[in-house]
Amino acid sequence: MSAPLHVAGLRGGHAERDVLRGVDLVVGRGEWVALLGANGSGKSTLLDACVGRLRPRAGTIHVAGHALAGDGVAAKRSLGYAIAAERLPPLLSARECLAVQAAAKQLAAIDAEVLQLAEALGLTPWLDEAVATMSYGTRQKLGVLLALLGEPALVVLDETFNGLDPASGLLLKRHLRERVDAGRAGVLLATHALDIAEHWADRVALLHEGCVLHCWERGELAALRKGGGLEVALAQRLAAARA
Amino acid sequence: MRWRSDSEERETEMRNESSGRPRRVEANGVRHVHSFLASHAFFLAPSANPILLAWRFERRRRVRQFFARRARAGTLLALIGVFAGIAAVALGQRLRGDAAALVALLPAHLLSLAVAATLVATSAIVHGRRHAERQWATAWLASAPIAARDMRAALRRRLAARWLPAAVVVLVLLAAAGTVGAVTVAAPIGAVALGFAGGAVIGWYAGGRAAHAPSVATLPRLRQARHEHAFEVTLTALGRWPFAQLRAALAPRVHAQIVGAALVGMPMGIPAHVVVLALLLIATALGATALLNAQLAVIPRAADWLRATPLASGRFTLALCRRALAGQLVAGACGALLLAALGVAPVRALALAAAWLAWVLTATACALARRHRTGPLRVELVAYAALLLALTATLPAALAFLLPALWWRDGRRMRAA
Repeated sequence: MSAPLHVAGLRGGHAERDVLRGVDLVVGRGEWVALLGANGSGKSTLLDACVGRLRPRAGTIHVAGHALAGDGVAAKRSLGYAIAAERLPPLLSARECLAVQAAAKQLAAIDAEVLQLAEALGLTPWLDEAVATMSYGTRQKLGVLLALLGEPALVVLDETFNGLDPASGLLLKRHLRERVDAGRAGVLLATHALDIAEHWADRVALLHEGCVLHCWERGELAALRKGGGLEVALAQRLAAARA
Repeated sequence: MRWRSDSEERETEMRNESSGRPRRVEANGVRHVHSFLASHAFFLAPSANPILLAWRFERRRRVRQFFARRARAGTLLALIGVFAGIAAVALGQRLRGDAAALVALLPAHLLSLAVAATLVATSAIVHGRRHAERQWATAWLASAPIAARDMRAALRRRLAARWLPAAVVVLVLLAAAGTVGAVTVAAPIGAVALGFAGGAVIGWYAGGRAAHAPSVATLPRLRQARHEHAFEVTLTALGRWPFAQLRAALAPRVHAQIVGAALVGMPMGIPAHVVVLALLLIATALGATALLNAQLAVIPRAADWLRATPLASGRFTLALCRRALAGQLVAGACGALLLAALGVAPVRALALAAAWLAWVLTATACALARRHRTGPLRVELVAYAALLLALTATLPAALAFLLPALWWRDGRRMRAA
């Protein structure tokens, strides 16, 4: 079975500036990959390219075996992207957002599991309210629910846990972990929260100046938890790269 | 270096205040410069107003970015040149013909002219001020300690920079029309100038309340009953979005003021049914314009949201634009009927409605091309150029002025969204 995400030699950016300078990254099924990096290192740009929001200048992106450039519709059918809270349609209700997203993915119905998650996250009272009236955290929850519609092989999250209350954050992390452990999806999460990367991810990739500088595998992460932690290791790697 | 005593500090502060230099504030023994930016007058010259400075930097950057792409700038300048030439020639011809008679009518309708100018200026200033204040409320400088006086000054300058040249152009054109038509237009120019000035003052004082109104309160009530417990999988909400945007953007008070002023400005002796038809026509035009604005604002947001889904462009376009375009079709038909009822030749009325619909279609297509599939700007330029050429060849010369202005405005609106 093809990996949910396979990125090779990716170059691209905004306007004339190359933010990504040859990124190679694989997210396997049943794998949670956390993407770390300093501000401006290209995390969000990489995610934008992976979900088809940004056209790369060079390189290939395959989602569940489908080339994003050649077979975009099939690739996007296997993809769930948690859109940023401020980019959600402000005048539609949460229910309408779910309906439109499900129709866009050509689903027959909204997944019962997603509705259960909405209930558990306390989103049900907000279903008929306009997005503009929701708090930042509530909108973040809605963004994740939209991403999880249609059993995507790849779930792409950009700083999704920012603004979530601790209980909701834990619930969501457990849900994602269950999906990953069941081999139903691969998760790519760009974040600055080292605790999530250290305790929940299977692999941590460090992006520096548009390239993957280092990857910590599961065993290395376990060793780091016993030692100085990911924070120190990250700082050392970045210092060495800058030197 | 010797630290000055407290009394010396206070003296310095008083001297600074009396000389208009930046004020120092003492707090808990720590010296704070009241405004870091204001203390660097050489850097801020010629203005120390931080809002104006930020706007100037933004404007400069936009201009640089635009001219960095020479091909784009060249194409646009060439297009502007071509259309300005066409417009000048066409206007000259019209003025020598029928328009001379039209200009001769102006001195007899000074009140109507003044009211029309007041309406235009009021609307422009009200919308300009509200838009700027709404932008300001979420801008990065919103929490900076900037005096309300400075903010108002910045707004005044911004509005003047935007609308004063347009007002001057109108007055110059009026003067030129008087020269060509050999008619004394001093009184009409005075009436229009007075209307502009009065409208600007009214607009300034009427338009400054939006910042206090909570934006959430103006959101339309969503239809809940039908979807109470159901989870339909449908794109129909996309089609409703432009109308929800339209309802959120409506300003009934301003529109009522416009219609009221239009009533006052109607020349005496006009039959009541004509007044009603004219008011209906104004309402139709306002509605159609507001719907187009709403659609242009919604397209980029919807495209941004749904770009990462497998939704095909055709389905996206159909779902998002079908209802709004049907609304425009109805508005166009109503407009044509009203124009015909007002005595305009049916063919001409239909041509005007068709021109509006062509404009709506082109603007919508360009917005879709630009946002949904990152279409190149060349396509947009070619589409607008073809439309403008077609319309200027068939409709009065006024379109040559009106349509580039609409193009500029629509483009700005899309970029802002």
